[in-house]
Formats: sequence, C-alpha cells, structure tokens
Amino acid sequence: MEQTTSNRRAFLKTSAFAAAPIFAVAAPAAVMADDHGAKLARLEDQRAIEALHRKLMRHLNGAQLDSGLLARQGAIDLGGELLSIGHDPLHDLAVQLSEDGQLAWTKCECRLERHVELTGKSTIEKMARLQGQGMYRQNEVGLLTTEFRKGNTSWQIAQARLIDGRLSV
Amino acid sequence: MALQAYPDVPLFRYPYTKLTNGQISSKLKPACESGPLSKGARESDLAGTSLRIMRDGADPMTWQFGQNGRLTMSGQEAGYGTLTMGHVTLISHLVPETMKGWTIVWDRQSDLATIFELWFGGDPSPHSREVNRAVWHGYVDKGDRKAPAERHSPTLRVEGRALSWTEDTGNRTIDYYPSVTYSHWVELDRLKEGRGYSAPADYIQISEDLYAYTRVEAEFSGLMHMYVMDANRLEQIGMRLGFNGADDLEYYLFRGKGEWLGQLARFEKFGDFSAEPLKTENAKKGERRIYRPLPTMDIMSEAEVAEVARNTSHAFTKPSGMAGNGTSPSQALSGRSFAVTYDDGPSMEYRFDSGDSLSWRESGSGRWMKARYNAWEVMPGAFIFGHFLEGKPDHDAHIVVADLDSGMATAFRGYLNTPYIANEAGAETFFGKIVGDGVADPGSGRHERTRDMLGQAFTWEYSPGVNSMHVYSTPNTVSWVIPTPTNHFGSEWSGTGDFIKIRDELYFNRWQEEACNGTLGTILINMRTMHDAGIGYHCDKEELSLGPVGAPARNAGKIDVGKFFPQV
Repeated sequence: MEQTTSNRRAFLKTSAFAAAPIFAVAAPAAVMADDHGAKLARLEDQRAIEALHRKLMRHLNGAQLDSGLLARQGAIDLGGELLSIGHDPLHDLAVQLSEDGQLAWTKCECRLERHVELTGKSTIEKMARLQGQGMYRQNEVGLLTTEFRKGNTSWQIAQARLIDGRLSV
Repeated sequence: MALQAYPDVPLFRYPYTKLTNGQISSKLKPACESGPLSKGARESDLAGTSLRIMRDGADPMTWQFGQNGRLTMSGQEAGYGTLTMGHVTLISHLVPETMKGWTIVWDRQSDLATIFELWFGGDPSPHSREVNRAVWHGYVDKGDRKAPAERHSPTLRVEGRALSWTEDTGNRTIDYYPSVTYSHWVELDRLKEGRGYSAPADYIQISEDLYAYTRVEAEFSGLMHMYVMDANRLEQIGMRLGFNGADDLEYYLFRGKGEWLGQLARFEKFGDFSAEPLKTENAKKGERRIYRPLPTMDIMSEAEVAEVARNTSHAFTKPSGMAGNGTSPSQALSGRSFAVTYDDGPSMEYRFDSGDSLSWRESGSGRWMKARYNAWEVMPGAFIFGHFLEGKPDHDAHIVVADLDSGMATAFRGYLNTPYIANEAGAETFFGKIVGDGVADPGSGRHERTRDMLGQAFTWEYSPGVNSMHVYSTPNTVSWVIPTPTNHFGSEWSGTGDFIKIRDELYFNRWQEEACNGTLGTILINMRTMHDAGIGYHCDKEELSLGPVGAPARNAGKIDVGKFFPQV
C-alpha cells in the first residue's frame, strides 16, 4: 500500500482556520437522546478517531502514514520544519463528532520542537550562519486541531493545523 | 598611505598589499635557506639525527638534520630552527622553491607529535598573503615499538583563559582565548591605541601542562603566530611566519614568559570535552570556518545611503532578532519634556508627545521636529531612548541615557557617511545634563568613562538561536563571540567600544562594527537585574533603521588586564 511521509516544510495556512468549526468538548445533546445502537456507533467512532489521532501524532514524529488515511493532499500542515511534537499530558484530548456522524474534530494541546531558519541580517546571525547554524531549534506550545471525515471504509484526516503556536518558556 | 609594518591605524583600516605568488616566493627564498631567525642561540642537538613522524590520515614524513642548521626533507635541503622547552621541541623550516613550510611540535617524552603544514598562495584562503595551515597529529616512529594509541588533540581546555606574554623579541601581547576556534589578541607595543583583534585559532592539548596555540591574523596581515605554552610554568616557545604591513617577511622563533590573567566561564554541558564544534565534513586541506565580514556587508555610496534614508528609514517599527528576549518599551516619558545640554555637543530640547513619538529641536531655536522613539527604563529613573534626527546630512541618530534622578545624560551620536564606508556607522559620545521640571541639577557632575567594564565578559541571549558573548578586552574594544548549539564558543570579531558608568551596576556601552556589517550597537546594562536594553543603528541597501536590542545576561567572568592600560 502506498505510504506517505509528513510534509515537514509546509507553511501554516491560517485562512483555513476561519472555516473551522467551534469546538464543543461536551457531547451534544443529541447524543444523549440516541438509542443504544447509535450510542455504540458514536463510541466506536470516537475510539476510531482517537486511534487515528495517535497515528497522526506518530506520523508527525517521523513514522509513515498510510496515504489512505488522508482525505486529501496537504491535509497535514503544521508549518515550519517540525522536529517532534507531543501531547501535553496536562490537557486531555478533546473529541467532537458531528450530529450526522460524518465529521469529527479533535483539539490537542501540544508541545513541539521545530527548526526555524535564521534569516536576519544582524552580525550575530551572519556569524551563526557561518558556523552552520542557519537553523535553530525552537520549543513551542500550541493547539493541534484536526478535522476528520468518514470515508467509505474508515475515518480519514481532512485537515491538521496548529493554532495559537507560541514559544515555550 | 605609506607602508607600515605595524600600522598606526586600526588594522581593519589598513590597506594590506595584495601580494602576488611571485612576490611571496621571492620574499620567502632567503628564509628557505637560512631558516627562521631567533634571538637565542641555535640549538644543535638534532644535528646528525633523523626524525620520522607517522601522520594520521597522511603519509609519514622524515627529516634528516645536518650540521649548521641544515636539514633535508624529501631530497630538499633547507635551513631550520628549533627551540626546546622541557621535553617539547619546536622545529620549523620552509621548503625551497615553494610557498610552503612545516612546523613540528614534538613531545620527546611521549614521542607524540603535531605537525603544522603551512602555505601561502591562497586556497583555501582567498588571500595569497594569508598563512594557511593544516594540522597533522601523529607519533615519532622509532621502529622499535608499535604505534601508540594516544595523540595530541584539539582541546577546549584553554577556552576562557587569558594570559599576557613577553617574548624575547621584546613584544608584549595579551592573548584572550575566549573560544574553542578563535582567539583575541592585543599587541601592547607595536600597534597604536591598544586595540584588540580577533583571529581563527587552533588549540591543541599536548599534556595537562602543555598546549599548542596558533592564530592567523586573517583579513589583516595574514601572519601566523603560534606557540607551545606551559600553563603551569608560564613559559612559551613559538614561531611567527608571515608578512607584516610593510610586506616584509617575519619568520622567527621566540621564547616568552607569561602571566596568568584569569579565566572566563565555559558553557558546555558538564562532561562535554569535545573540541571541534565547527568541524566541516569533507573539508579541503586547511579549510575552516573563518569569519570574513566584508563579503557579507553591503558597501554603499553616500548617494545610496541618502536614497535609503529618504525612502526606507524606520525606527522601532519591526521586531528584531536582537530583542526577542528584550523588555517592553517604557511609556513613562510620555507627557514629559526636558532639555539635554551636552558639554561638547548640541543642546537638545525634547517633548515626549506619547509613548513612541517625540518632538525635538536643537539649540533652543528652529522648528520642532517629530520623531518616533522607543524608551526603556532600565533602572528606576534611568532611561535609554533613541531617535533619528531627520534632516541631518549624515543621518544622525541620538541614543540617550537620561538619568532623571541625577540629572545627568549621556548620548551616543550615530552617524553615516564616514570617510571609510558610507553606510558604516560612526559614533561619538556626548556628556551632558538634563534641564527640566523635577530634574535635579547635577552642576558640573557628569557621567564618566569607566574602566569597570575592562576585561569583563557577558553572554547575551537575544532570541532563540541569536546569542553571543561580549568581551570588553581593552578600554576601546568590544569583542563578540558566537556560541555553537553545544555552547562551545566559536567565531569572534571585534570593533571599537566605549564604556560609560551611569550608576553603580549600570553601564552604557557601545560598539561599532567597522568594516563588518556597519552597525552601531548600544546597550544600557543593569548588572543588578542582569538584563540590558539598547538600540541598534544600521544602514544597508534595504533600510536605515533604529531597532531594539535586549537580552538577559550571564556574567561570564572578568580578566584582570587593568594594569596594561594605564589611565592617562
């Protein structure tokens, strides 16, 4: 089966977030009213989403990802050159399913490390580049938001983006 | 300019001759025959012996030493010189009909050796007159034992130290070793102004006591100065090779006595003794990372500077990598007004219209001019602020430290259109007093130049990936050293500095990046909070700018050099 590796040099497309739905961490009221079968189906979907999210995290840390798990090319775009990313254990992974069960969203507080290009023209930056330090490692925290779509046979990642990325201090 | 062996202008201003290979070969020829000069008597104990050194990564080399200071190597005969210090012997010679030479450091106790292969003519250096070197480690093959596992090796053990040396030539030098790959030297006798300069260096550990050091005065004369130092006995034996400012060959051996001056902190992780942080994979022979500032600097005409100043000057409108860890500008001057009267400079009237806009006029008359400014209150009541003086022909900026408690003020005036490079910042220092409501009258009191900073080193963490260490090596020199990701210090350069005491533990420093990016850097250092705030003044083909500078500091130590710079 065809494999894909993460696009580690893509850039953040902030415009995509404008269309992103507002998260609601609590399950919608409709879920509470569902019959037992529907509840079970939603729980299975939630587990599938959580599993796919784990695959996404492994992929973002360098593991290959089955291309069939991506709804489209460029679905994953966290900007810059990501070196590693990990779920911040102080925060739970939040999962939301649409009422029709065809879409899902997660948000995950993350800590990440990325390479950032040193592009400035100060003398220090010029000398750092001379030393082969054209990139530096930057620690950040941010919110990984992912949209999932139910395909014909399984859930797929429609879009993964990092929002509120900021330096970790 | 008439040629001067040791110029009376800063080395970065001196037009060193671009010697041709033919000129170099011609100048080397007599020394190939005679070997290096030396003040002391020639040592002769090698006469009648041979020395075969097995080199790691290269063919063995054999020298046969004859009488009267002659040796034979690869069938060629040359004059040589040798000096011995304890159990280490330094041997040096040039190779006839070439632009090459060899200098050997032979530890007779361990029979380990390091060979410095030296050559002129460029490649990898872009300058024919600059000495190239390749360093070979190995051992003396006596045919009666197997190869030892030990070797002399690059070391970080010297990093941070500083010594002064007095050679038998009479020359006195302060050598700072603040880096693993660079050094900083101050010639105390032959150069004017007592400035310090920076040069790529090698540091080789021979034993716990003994270290070999080289520097090549790259981008200046290209001379190589190298020695073996005994760190405990404070003695050295060394060799100097190259062409001075008068293009005369200097090739001599020397002995010297040292004085230990101190030790700056090292910042590598505990347990990290690696010593080649800038090693280049697949480097060609002699290649290393040498900072050559001019090729990366825009060189502009006065007309180009004027156009940039007219069209793309900006003050504090962009984030700066030099202030990623800076403190926020202060709004506290907003609404205030005062004048600053400088003793040997202008009188400036200020109205601070808001937190980032002021009006100024000069000499109490004329039109009020608007300017954008930023200010930082670095210690309560002590501000640094800066602004352009629009309309000035040399595109002036004033960076002012105003102590509203004492009523004293000091300004660094930055300007362009210097006689050297139009977009290289010049600077002068004005001392004065503040006149305004609620500001104390200091009478004749003024901030003063200080020696408190002399020998001091601070690290600065400006932004992720943008770090440096300042070494205030002489009363008029700021040197900056760039760390690697492993916190070894690497490349280094230096420029003119000035140091003003504002209050106890509060200092106003500047440096000029002359013939090197052209920036004027100014910082007000609070040694109580160990943070600074400052302003950079810079012009290149894209813009004329005033930008923030700010970083937390670490005190990296202080070298005791005061006695070498008597106050006049």
